[in-house]
Amino acid sequence: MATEECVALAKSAILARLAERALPPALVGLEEQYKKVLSLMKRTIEMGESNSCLLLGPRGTGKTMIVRQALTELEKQFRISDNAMEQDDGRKDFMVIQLNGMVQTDDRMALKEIMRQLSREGESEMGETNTTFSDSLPSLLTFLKAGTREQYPIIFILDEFDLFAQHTKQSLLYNLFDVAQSADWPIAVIGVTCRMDALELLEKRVKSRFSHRHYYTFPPSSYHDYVEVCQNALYITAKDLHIHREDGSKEADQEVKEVFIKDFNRRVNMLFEDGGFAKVVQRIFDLMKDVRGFYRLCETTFLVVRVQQFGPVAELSRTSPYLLPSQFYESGLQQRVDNKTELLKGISLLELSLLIAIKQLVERDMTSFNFEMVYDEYKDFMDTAVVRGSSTSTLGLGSGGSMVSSDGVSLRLYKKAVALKAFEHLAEAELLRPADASSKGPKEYRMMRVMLDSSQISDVVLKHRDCPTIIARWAARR
Amino acid sequence: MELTPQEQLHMAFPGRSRQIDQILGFMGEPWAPTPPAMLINGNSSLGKTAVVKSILSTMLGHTTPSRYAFLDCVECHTPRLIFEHAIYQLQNAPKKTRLTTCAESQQEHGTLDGVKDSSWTTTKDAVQAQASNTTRPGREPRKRKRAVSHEQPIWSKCENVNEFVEWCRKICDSDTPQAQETSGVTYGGSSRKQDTRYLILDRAERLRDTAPALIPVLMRLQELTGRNICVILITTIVWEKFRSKTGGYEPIILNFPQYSKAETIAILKRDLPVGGDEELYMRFVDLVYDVFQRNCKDLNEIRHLVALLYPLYIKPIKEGKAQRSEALKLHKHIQAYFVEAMDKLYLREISSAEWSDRTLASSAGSHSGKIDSTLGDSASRRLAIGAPGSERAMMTAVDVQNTFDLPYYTKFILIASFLASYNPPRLDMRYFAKVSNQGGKMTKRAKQSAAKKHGHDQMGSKLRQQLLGPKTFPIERMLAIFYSILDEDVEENINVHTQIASLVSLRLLQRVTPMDKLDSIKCKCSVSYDTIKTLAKSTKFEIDKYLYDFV
Repeated sequence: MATEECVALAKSAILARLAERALPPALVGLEEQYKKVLSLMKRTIEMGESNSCLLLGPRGTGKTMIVRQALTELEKQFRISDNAMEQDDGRKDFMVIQLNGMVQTDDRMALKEIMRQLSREGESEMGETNTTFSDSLPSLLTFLKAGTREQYPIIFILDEFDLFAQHTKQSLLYNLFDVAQSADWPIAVIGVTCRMDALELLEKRVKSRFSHRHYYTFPPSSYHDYVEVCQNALYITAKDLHIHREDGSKEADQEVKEVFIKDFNRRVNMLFEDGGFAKVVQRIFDLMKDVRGFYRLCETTFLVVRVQQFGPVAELSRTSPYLLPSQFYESGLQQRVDNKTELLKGISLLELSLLIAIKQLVERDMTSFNFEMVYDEYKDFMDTAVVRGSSTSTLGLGSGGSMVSSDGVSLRLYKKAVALKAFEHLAEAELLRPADASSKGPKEYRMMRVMLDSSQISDVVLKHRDCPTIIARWAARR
Repeated sequence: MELTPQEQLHMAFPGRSRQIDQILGFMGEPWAPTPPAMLINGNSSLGKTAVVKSILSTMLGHTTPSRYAFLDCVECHTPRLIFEHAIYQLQNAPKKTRLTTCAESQQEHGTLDGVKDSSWTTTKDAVQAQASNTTRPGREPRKRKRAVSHEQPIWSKCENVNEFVEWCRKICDSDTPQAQETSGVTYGGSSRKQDTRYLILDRAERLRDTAPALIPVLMRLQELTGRNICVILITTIVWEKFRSKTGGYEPIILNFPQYSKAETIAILKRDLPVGGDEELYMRFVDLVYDVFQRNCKDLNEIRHLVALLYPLYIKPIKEGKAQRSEALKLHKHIQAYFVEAMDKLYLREISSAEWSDRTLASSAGSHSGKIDSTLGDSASRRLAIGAPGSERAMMTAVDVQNTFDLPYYTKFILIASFLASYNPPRLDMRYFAKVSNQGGKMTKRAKQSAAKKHGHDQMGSKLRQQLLGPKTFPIERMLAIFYSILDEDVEENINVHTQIASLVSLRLLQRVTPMDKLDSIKCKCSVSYDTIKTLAKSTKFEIDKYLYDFV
């Protein structure tokens, strides 16, 4: 019973971590940056210093994680908790306002969101009253500027900072940095972005108010570091299983859990020692160095694992409560599949023929083409094939220009209208793209480009389930 | 025998068990944390939408308010519509696919059936239109009905992403009122158990045009809201096409592969007409599959063909010309139709409903003319017809393109514009000058040599005007050709320019110069070669003599 509970808890904890809703047990390789960000925030809170900084780094390197970790840490230290209602003696040490450039797409919206978050914190009454940007900005500013160093510090987190820099006039950034510099109300502005040149996006007047503190995060540089990060995400901790040291009511239960944790983490280590598994991870590392690549692998693995014994979760826990390397192999393969070829496997023979015709055209340096040209090429081939075929073999499927090729497959020249449908289907699957944005006139004559390499087309022909040899030979011809 | 929901789904979707299991595994328990986003891709008519829909309605269809919102990006073509529809669906009870008065198990079965009925069939098909009218009322009437009978549905306004994120938080928190959150933003992992909300976007490829900025937001909606929300995109194209410039969170990709033969046949078996001979039907299905599968991967098209051709296949039996066991005879009989059907593949020049009506009408004389109206299924109705003299009805679909008629001179204007569009101006002298002795007719050899001189052969003659499409021409040139090809003198009173204007408004000519420019108008001829050939034939004009470099 206890084990089942453990497994369920462990699973949901790990999944939450993989989905990046929960933080991993430890920061690996980012301690330096974390310390700096934390101390910056701390100084704002403790000394009332105003600060600004930027966190830069490629996607998936842990920028947001650092910020979140720092915030949880501060929360712990300065004790503003979710149940602020109970202790409303005003002892709130700091506030956090989180904005995201993707969500707050212009300054007006951002301002509204700031107001909303402020008013929810019970700090300002102006929440819903001011609706226009020109109204609310001054009121926010007077509100902020009227404050003194003794005011509660506010920490602004600007995720996707580069998008804020693209707002007209950058007035939000300007005002925030301005407040930060004028040292009235203690605020910390922390920008997070994946654009390394984010600083260059700032206007001069904004830039000059920015403190020019930036911290960089990088993907793990060596495979060893990468593995460490990955491993870290799979470990479970006491907190994950809801072990509370305080209540010693369920002693025995706790013991089981601790044993489980130890065992589970040992298995995770074993997992990473497994050769096949290491190969899969190494491949991801070589391809992108992105921790999220590994996360996705794990998520797909969970998919597969739960497939095998979906219904009763209890069954799963008894038979295989730990992660096994073999489970990862399949999902590793699944991830590697090129979905384009996968889609192409399902196209019909007519569409394949058109693709080959296109390939023939492209090889003759005609990179843009229209349906008529492709159909003409296809017709040329079919004419020769039918002429050649009808002399050697009998006509199959009655009349109508169809013939049976050497391997017993009937080939036939399709009418233009049918071929046009197939051509449109290719365009719908975005294997073909219009060459110029707006071309008028009948669609048969619209110039198109192919989005595949000619080698890719040959590949498709090879992989196609039942491609007659005559077509395959045509595809190979130059 | 009681089946688990999972087994029911497996039964409902042959050949999709693995995908169903994967999606179910992905969802887990109702409150289990899920990955933030998932992309389901695969070619059309592989049951992507149907599978997801019925999984959701089976697993989550009983919770109110709904745990999922199913949106079609064609329907919701602006971000605002997406937001508001999603909020609406998440705040109200999930749609019931069928009768709610039945017993629980029956209802379950009915739900699956209803979904199957409506989603397996193509939406473009008239057969489906009929079926869905009877089995599944459309979205609009339902909404109205509910508005009348129950409490007023809440339609909330939501204009931008910011509000939407706020709404999502509100909706997710609505079922856990005891855990009131003050900060709204969770830094660490909250361990409260909330039911996962699903946001499904069908035909997601449209999102790239309608709301490109929305895609990265949806991909990390879970992170942005800090709630248990999962976004599922269903599309026919690959994920690479969705990526934005700055990158973002990548979804888990699940691919729906093509059906195998056995799977296709298992699906087709469900279409067995009521009271039909199963063995005979399966033999026919097998035959159709073998003939068409190479060139027609679309399951719906094959189903359409089966429904269309099966009555013809069994007609000899009905007429007593053949026995059920005489497979070869039946095969020979149907083969001609196969060839013709091949030519009409995908075209649907007439809808299947129209076709069945037509066979009905032509059979009325010879047959008793009574259809069993109790058989609602159109396929079985077609089966009931089985009358002689109608087999060609499908094939002789009206050729709409070639039936339009024009006044005599207008025809010549159109022919002249076709010539002007496709012939190079430098050869006009040769073709149309009346003064020269040779009468303007180029010999075949002259044509070929001209073509060769122009260097067309190196490019595999793919750059001839015939293939490149119509060129623009000044009206004056066309008029010159018009007067040249018309043997008699044109009477004064026919207003040529009016005719040109009417051709433009008929879209047979395409005006290239803007409407406010009255001088030196330029046009394009947008009529196909086949059409112009029939037109020329009707005026006894030998157009081939005047065309340069045509085959």
